[in-house]
Order: sequence, then C-alpha cells, then structure tokens
Amino acid sequence: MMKFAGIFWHKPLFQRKKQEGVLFTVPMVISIAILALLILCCIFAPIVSPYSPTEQSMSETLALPSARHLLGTDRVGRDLLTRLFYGGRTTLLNALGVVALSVVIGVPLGLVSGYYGGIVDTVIGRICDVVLSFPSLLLAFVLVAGLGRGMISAVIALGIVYVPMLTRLVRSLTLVEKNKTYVEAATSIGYSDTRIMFVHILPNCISTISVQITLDLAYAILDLASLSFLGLGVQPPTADWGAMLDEGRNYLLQNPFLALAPGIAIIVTVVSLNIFSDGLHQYFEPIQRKLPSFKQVERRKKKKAAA
Amino acid sequence: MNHENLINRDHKIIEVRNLKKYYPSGKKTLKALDGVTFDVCEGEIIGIVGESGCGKSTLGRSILRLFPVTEGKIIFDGTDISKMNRRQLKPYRRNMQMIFQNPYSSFNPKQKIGSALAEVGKVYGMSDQEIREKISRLLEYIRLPEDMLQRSPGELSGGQLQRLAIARALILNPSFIVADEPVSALDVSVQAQILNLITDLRRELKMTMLFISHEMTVVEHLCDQVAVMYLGKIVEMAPTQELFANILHPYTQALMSAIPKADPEEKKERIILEGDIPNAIDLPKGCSFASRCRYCTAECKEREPELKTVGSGHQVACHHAGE
Amino acid sequence: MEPKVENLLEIRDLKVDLMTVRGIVHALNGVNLQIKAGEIHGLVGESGSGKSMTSKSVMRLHNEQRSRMKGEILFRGEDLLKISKKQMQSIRGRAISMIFQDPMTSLNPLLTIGEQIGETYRQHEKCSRAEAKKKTYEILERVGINPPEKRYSQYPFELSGGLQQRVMIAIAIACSPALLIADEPTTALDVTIQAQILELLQHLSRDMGMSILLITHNFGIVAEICDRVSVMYAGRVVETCDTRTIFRQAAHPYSKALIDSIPKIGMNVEHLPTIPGAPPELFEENPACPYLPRCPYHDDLCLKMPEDRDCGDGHTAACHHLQSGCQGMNQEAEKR
Repeated sequence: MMKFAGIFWHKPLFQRKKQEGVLFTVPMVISIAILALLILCCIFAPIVSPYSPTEQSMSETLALPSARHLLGTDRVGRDLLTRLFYGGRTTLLNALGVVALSVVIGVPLGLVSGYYGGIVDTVIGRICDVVLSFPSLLLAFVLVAGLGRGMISAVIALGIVYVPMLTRLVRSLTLVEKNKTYVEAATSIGYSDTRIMFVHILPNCISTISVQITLDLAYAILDLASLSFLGLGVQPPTADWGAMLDEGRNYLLQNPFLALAPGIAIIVTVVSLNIFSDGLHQYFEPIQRKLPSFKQVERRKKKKAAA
Repeated sequence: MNHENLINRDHKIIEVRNLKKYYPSGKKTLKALDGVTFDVCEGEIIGIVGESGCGKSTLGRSILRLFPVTEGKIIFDGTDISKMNRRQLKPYRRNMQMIFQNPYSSFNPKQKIGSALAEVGKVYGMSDQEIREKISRLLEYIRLPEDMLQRSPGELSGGQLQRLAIARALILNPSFIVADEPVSALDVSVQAQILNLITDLRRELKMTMLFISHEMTVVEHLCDQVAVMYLGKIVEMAPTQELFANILHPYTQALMSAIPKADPEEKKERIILEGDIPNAIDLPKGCSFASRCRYCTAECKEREPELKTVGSGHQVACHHAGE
Repeated sequence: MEPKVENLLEIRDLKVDLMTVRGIVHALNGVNLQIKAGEIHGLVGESGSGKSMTSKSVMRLHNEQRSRMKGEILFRGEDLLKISKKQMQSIRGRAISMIFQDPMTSLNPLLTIGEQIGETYRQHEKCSRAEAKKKTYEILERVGINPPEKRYSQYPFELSGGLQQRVMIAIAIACSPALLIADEPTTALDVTIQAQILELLQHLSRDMGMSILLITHNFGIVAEICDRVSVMYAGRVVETCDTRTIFRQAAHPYSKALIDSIPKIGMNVEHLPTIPGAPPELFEENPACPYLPRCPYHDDLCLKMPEDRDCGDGHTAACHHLQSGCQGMNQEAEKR
C-alpha cells in the first residue's frame, strides 16, 4: 500500500505547462476536494439539511444518531448535522473576515515599512512588536472586552492580532525584492513609489503571501473556535463550531457526537488548509519541490511499459 | 573606430563639476566619489573604467540622481540637477535612462515583456498608438521578433533580455543613457552581439552614453573618450586613441598590463601590482595610488596630484606623468 | 611493475544527466579529455557548456540520486566512477583538490584562516597540532600571504577577495595534490588581483609539478597561463590543442568564431564578428552536431554527430568541416 502511494504521490494529474510545476498533486486534490465539499455544504446548508438550525424539538433532546437525525440532536433537540453546516457558515465566513482584515491592513504596512525603511520602518516595527508581545488570545480578550461581545468584535480583534505577522512577512519579502535590479530600474525610469510598491514589488511577493494567508485561515478557525468556546465570540443560538464544541462537552456521555462532530470538522478543515498551503508553497517555489530520483523515474517507466 | 562625425562638440549634455558622494561609515566617511569633473558632449560615448570599489557605479547613479549627492554640480543640458528633489527631477528622468549589469533581474519577473515596455510610455503619458509604434520600431532595431512581447523574463536568455533592457531605455527618446557594465554578465559571443547593437544604435539614434565597465578592451572598442577611476577619483582621462597610444598614469599602465591578452604571442613586460586596493574609508594623505605605485617618491606621499592637462585633451593626475 | 600512465587524468565518453525542476538535462554528452602530468589545462566555454559539470563529475560532487553518469574518469589509470565512496573521499583533497569562483562562500566564516588550513593537515595527514601549525605557516608563505603569523589568527571576512582566494589555494594544495581543479578562480576578482592569482597558480604548478585544470570563460586567461586547452560546447569538448594553436589555427568553427568575437585593444573595427543565435538547451537528446544551427559551414553531413578527429600533435577537433588548423584533414573530408 505504501509503495503504491509512493509511486503516485507526486505524479501529476494535470500539468499546466510542460516545464512548470505541478499544482494538482494527489494531496492537493484531496485537500481541495474536502475544502470544496465543506464550502458547498455550508453555502447550500438550507437545501442540504431538512431542518432549521434553531428549530427546537423537546421530544428529541440528546438523541443518538438515527435515520431521522444522522448525527443525533443536542440538548434542546436541534439537529446536529444541520447545526454543523450552519456552524461552518459562520466559522468559515468569520475566519475569512479575520484574514481579509489582516491582509488589508498588514500588506500595505509591510510594503511601506520595507520599502521606505528608516523612521517609518522603526515606528511600524515597534507597533508590531507591542502587538506581538501579548499572547494573541489575551489581546483578543482585551479587544473584545473593549468592543463588546459578539461575532463582529471577535473578528475585528483577531484581524488586528494577525496584522503584525503578515506585516513582518511582507516587510522581509519587500526588503529582498527592493534590492533587485528591476526595482532600481523602475526608480531610474522615474516610476512613482506607489507604482513600484504595488505594481512591481507586490506581485513578486504574492506567492509567499498567499501561502501565509491559507495558513492564517486555519489559525483563524482555531482561534475563533477558542473565543466561541470561551463564550466571547458567537452568541447563542447562532451555530458555530467553537460554540458547539463548548456546548457539547457537557453531554459527552449522553451523545459524544455533540463534541466530536464540530471537533472533527475543525481538525479536517485546518489540516486540509495546511496541506493546501503546503502544496501552494511547493508550486510557487520550485526549489521546495521534491524531485524524483533517476531510479524512481526508471521504475515508473518500467511500470508504464508493463501496463 | 573614429566617430567624431557623430559628436556635436558644441552641445554639452552633461557637465559634472567636482562631484562628491560620501557615505558615513561609523565615525569616518567613505569617499565613494571625491571630486569628479568631466563633460559629455552630444553623441559621445564616454567610458569609465576601474576596479571594483573605485566609484564608477556610484558615479553613474549620482549623475542620474538615484540618490542625493554630497557636493558638486551635475548640469544636465544647462540645468543644475544636483540639488533637486524627487518632484523637480521627474521631468528630467525621462531624458536620462539606465541599463544595468544583470539582464536577468532588470525586468520584473511577474510582468510580461510587452507590458513592461508599454508601462514606461504609459507613465509618461504616451498614447497607446504611439507606444505600439515605438515598441515595434525598437524591436526592429534590436532585431527581436514581436512575439517576445508575450513572454515573461524567465523564458528569455541573457542576451535577449539585455537587448530588451536597451529597448526599454530608449522608449522615451532619452538624451542621455548610463550603461552600468551592460555586457559583463554575458557570454563572449553574446557580448559581441550587444556591443555591435550599441554601435548601431549610436549611429542611428545619435545616442549619448556613459559606459561603465571594468574591461579595458570593451571600453577601447566602444568609447570615444575614456576616464580611468581609482578610489573615487579620475586619475587619467583622454580620447580613446590618444589614451591607448600614450598611457601616462602608472595605474592605467598596470591595469592595461594586467588584462590577460587573448594572444599567446603578445607576451610583453607584465606589471603586477603588489597588494590590494586600499580601503576608501581611511586614506592616507597624498596620492591614493602611492602605496601600490612603483614610481612612488616622497612627493607622492605628501601632496595629492591634481588632474592636469598634458597634450591634446589628455588629462592625468600624477606627479611623474611624462617622465 | 605499474604500467606507465601518460595521462594523469583521462575522461572517456563521459555522459551526465541531471534531474532538474524543468526536466532531465543531458548536461554532458560524451566528454573526452586528457590531462597530462604537470600541465595547466584550460577548459573554456560559454555558460551552460558543461565546464563546471565536468569538474564536478571528476570530484563526484553530484547528488547521486538526481544524476546519472556514464563513461570513464581515469585518474592514474583508476576509474573514479567505479571506486567506493570511502576511496573517493581519500582522493578528494589529497590527490585531487578544487578551488571555486567565490572564495567568501567557500570558507567557513566562524573559523580562523589558520584553523581551516590546519584542519586539512590534521585530517589527511594525521598531524599533531604543533606540526599542523608549522606546516600552515609554510603554506601561507608559499601562497604569498604575509606575514603568516598575523594572518593565521584572522577570520575570512577580515581579508580581501584576493587574499581569501589565496587561502582557498593554500587549503587546496596543502596535501600536494597531483591535480588542482580551479573553477573560475579569478572571475570574482579585479584584473590587477587576477593577475596576481594567475601568477601564483603558474608558479605553484611549476614548483610542485602539479597539474591544473583551469575552468574559465576568458580566453585571455588561457593565453596567459595554460599549456593546452579544451573548448566545450553544449556538453561536449569540441576541440583540444595547445594554447598557441587555438589562437593561431583553431580547427573547429566554434572555437574560431569565439576567439574572433573577443574585442582586442587596437582592433579598430566598427563591428565585432559575432556568432548568431544562442547555445541549445540540453533537454532533448540531439543526434546532430549541436553547433549546427549557428554554424556557417553546416550541411547534411552535420546531421550526424561528428567524432573527434586527429589533426596531429595532440590536436583534436569534433567537426565534419575542420578549419585552417587542420588543412590536410579538410581536403580529405572534401574528397569523401
């Protein structure tokens, strides 16, 4: 089995261009499929599930899985699978919000900081240091406390917490790009700083940034779940994976799926996102790619000839 | 070859006067340029030669005002641009362009060649029609097919990219071009192609150029006037034929004799300089070449030689020149 | 009685394929090269022609999984491709050693010059600390690093590029190797420093009877110090002869064109002779002469890969249409 997997592990399923890397390797396809399925289920939650996420049924509280309720019901008789789909909606959407906010603030800050250097860089760097010196969840607590409980404040809080990491990354990428001849060439032609930063430097950093974004997305799901778990994020009765996990742990003996299902959903999403970002990274940076050895190539050829 | 007929001696495009560029280095200063003076006439190619750290690249970038200069004047077509800020410089930028050493990194790797070339025109307000015509005419000059425009820089060879870099520099019809070692990163056979291209372009477009190189042979082939730099100063400057017929400065002599000649028959006296180039941060007084010079006398260690004119347009900074 | 081996190093029909991100590259396609004892042999060619690849193959520095080597590399009659890794290790640095283009990245920045040279002695010759130090002083003096006592305890970054390259040379010749491979040793240096290093290499070769394989793209360097020279193109040696001959009577059209395209002082021409086109990429196996598309003399004969042909006096060239250097051969070819 392992041997079989080894042969196909990096085999291209679809090649974009002969000499470019392969984006769709087997792990990539699996992770994309899982993510797509998840996203589709969340988008079409009202169609996929026959129940409403808030519809209570006191006669069926804490029911175990059955044909009527595939994953059973919770303490007030709401269908768990339905709530999982609707919960995914809030969780994924909020995670996207967190990342979008951090990108909108973090990327330009990083570009400016790396490109101009000097006092601008120092000021931005110090602010980042201050934000980074707090444990991220603690900072989110403080911000949520200030902004009031609720989804939006959780998203804003986490969005701000994620800014410094992205700023630092973009700054270091900009520092590398800034010293390349094409930037000097752009300066000598007389392009404006904004043009050089956003039209020339940024596209060359996008690949690394996008890898970081997918990773951040995974972290955001986990952190949002933690906030909800601690009761600071989503307020009931809205479904959310973190809040569901918090709720479910009280009824582990009656229906273990109440905690397991959202937990597994979180893990599967985060792992898929990680694999996806890893695949992206390998695609964008050929040096990261694993090359097959000549022995492997010959073995493959033989297999092909035999088949 | 003599290109005197292409040069308009009455029209000076660039006048550099006592140009200085100092970098702070701890408590001391690094004198990257220390009082450089010369003129570039319309249609002239002037060569700057020297070893690494002699300030030749700093000179090229200072003239284009890619950074502020410490002291001195840069007069571009009658206007002093040495003290201008970025906004004031903008109208002058389009008239001064630069070609870089490494063709592989002088284009944005994420931008198609066509869009990179068109961008130059767009930023300076040329119409699409104008840009298209200009680019196709330039592609003819540099002898590359139109389908180059759809390619990314990563798919092209060094020679092709350097041709395109030259084309990009020419889109705005600049009156002055700085070429910083444009052939040093290329293979011999490609280097010859690029040098020939520059020769053709200067004839057809009356290009004025500052050509920076560390290779004497390349400079001798291409330039009308050569300046030899050592530690931030011009030590010798003369029209090419005059210079190579009558080398006066001992550093130029050593530089010439150190070039490996691609001819085993031509074994002549070799002058091998002792030691390394001194650090430009902490120069002793007197002639900066004194520590490596075989004609060095007490005077050289005491007094710094001035650049003085000897013979027809031949300038040299040495106490013992002509002895 | 050992059989007398005339060539110190003989490479026969060496083929190297490499796995790269862009596919399999046929980096070397049948390299033949002979290096005699005590000579300085130049290996010239443009980038990508396989010069460095050849030297790396001799040292067996390729990643074993991602490369495939065929052919023979005979060093004193022994095939380096067949011996064990351990045997190879004992040859590297002792019998054959190598210096690289960029001395700064080849030296360990955390160790002093003396420690790095001394290490070589302690490893290969099992010297004591004191002995190694004494020998290090000697070798530093030999490569012109003065005063050795002061330089011994300096770190690489305190030295200039020229001195760093001298240190590299000291490490390389520490165990008196029979062959020194110098891969573009002066490309990163200034001309005046380059002249110093070339002179040093020439002296060392003469004094120690050491062969040097000098890899360079600069024909000037070849003319200065090499006894014989091989020109490489697209993974093959296209011409081998003594230095005088290559400049006077190059037989291969590529060598001739390459030498003609170098600007020379006092040439006084408007245009330099050039070679049209660019070298081929080596992703596909090519049965024809790789120089065909750029060659002015090509015809149907060139669709077949040319063999090495002897022009006498150790002059060989791989072409169907040999030039002036091989007058007799040329007529013979025309008759056929």
